[in-house]
Amino acid sequence: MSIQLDDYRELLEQTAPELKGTLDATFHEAGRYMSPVGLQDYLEGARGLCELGRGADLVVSYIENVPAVAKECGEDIIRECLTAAMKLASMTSGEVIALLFSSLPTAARRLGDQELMRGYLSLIHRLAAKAPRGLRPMLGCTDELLSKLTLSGLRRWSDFGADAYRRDLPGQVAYFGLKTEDSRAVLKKERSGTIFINCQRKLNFYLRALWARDFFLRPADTSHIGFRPYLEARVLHLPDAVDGIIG
Amino acid sequence: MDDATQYLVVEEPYYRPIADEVELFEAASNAQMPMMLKGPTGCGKSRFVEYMAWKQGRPLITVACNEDMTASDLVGRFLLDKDGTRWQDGPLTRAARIGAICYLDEVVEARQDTTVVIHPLTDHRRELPLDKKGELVKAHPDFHLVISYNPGYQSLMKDLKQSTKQRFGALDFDYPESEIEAEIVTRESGVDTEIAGKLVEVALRSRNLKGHGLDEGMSTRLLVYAGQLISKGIEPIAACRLALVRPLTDDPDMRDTLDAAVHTFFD
Repeated sequence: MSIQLDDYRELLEQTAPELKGTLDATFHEAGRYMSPVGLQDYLEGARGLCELGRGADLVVSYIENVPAVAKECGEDIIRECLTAAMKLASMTSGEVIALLFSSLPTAARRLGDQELMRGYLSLIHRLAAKAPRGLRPMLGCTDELLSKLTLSGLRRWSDFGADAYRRDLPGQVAYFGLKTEDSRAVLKKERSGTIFINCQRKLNFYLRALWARDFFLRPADTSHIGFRPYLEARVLHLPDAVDGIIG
Repeated sequence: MDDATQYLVVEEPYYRPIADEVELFEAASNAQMPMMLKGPTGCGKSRFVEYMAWKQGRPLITVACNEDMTASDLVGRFLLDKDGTRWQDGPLTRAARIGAICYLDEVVEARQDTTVVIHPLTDHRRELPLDKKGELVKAHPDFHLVISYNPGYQSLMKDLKQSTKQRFGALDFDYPESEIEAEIVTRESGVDTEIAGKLVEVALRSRNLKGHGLDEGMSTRLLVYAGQLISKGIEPIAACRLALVRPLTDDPDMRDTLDAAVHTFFD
């Protein structure tokens, strides 16, 4: 299977002329992390977004950001990202979808797992339905939110804001932009213990040093009661956050 | 003629043979075969050369190679002093004249256009042309060229050409087995066997990380440094931090990992 960028070039550059200077380099970079199938999904996705007719920003944002997501979580996530974007297309503007794509590399790095990324995309869709005015400001704060919260923590934080400001549209904007006191208070409350992704690199070093081999560690969503770490297909699934040990 | 005695290794250096490297080196030396010693930093290559120089009673001239080194630095140059111009032999020429072991340490650091100057000394010719002086130096029968080479530092830009590599026999060096390494650390640093054993255990954990966050694990040399500090009364964890962990890496996660390894054995 041979993927030809030239089959898509005209449409992409017509929709987003700013891609002219960077498309080749971006595609070449994407080729380092994606198989031919992944590249096909990537370009077909770009074509789909062009044909959506929601402007150039989201096409540019998609092209530039999705390779980094594929690098962190595997190329299978590309279709999930596109599905999420298409779902949002009927609910919000092209600019917000562009912000979603811009947030995805950070989300992929901080969540570090395909399953958790699906959870993140699902959360975005839910927020678009429950508190649509909150989506844009929240996507602008992704760096800070994901540096402090696990996915389940983010879910609880966003649920609180969506419920508290259901009918208060300016309040939604302020809460999800981390501009209100309760927004920061709930954020503080949901910052639980030690986040896996902050320790993963060190854990890998420790295990490598002790056992002279690599272990595959993945964070798992622990929002359901009774979660226990488990081993599946040679991957050790650990809680995405653990509380401190008391005493 | 230079006074060769200044280059003699007078006292026997401590060297713990690991396998048959002494016999092999002696045979290569008798066959006038240039030798390449390959191994990680601080595993005993230079100590071995020093030991062999002492054992064979030959002068030893060591050159620490670097990328600024030119052919003139090895071969020699004309100098200007109050009496006029005079020729000064470089270390390679001096070694060839007096029948010394010329040891080029970390030869891969030198530029390839510099290292080619050794070629005429490493084949059947065993001669060194001094083009600027118009002299052809025939190597003394006891002249022996030895180079050291750390395979871990190879890259496209910094590697020996095949035309250079294939002029040498090679011996592989590595960190010794735990018991032997502990024996070496004890002997060199003055710590007891138990502490030396623990230092080696820490080093083994670091060597598991080679290529996985570290370019090299802790060398035997660093273990000796740590042991020396401990034998001088420094608390072991502080000694390990100073001599083993901090020199190796600035990465905070890696430092944490290595500190944890130290605490595992010294708490």
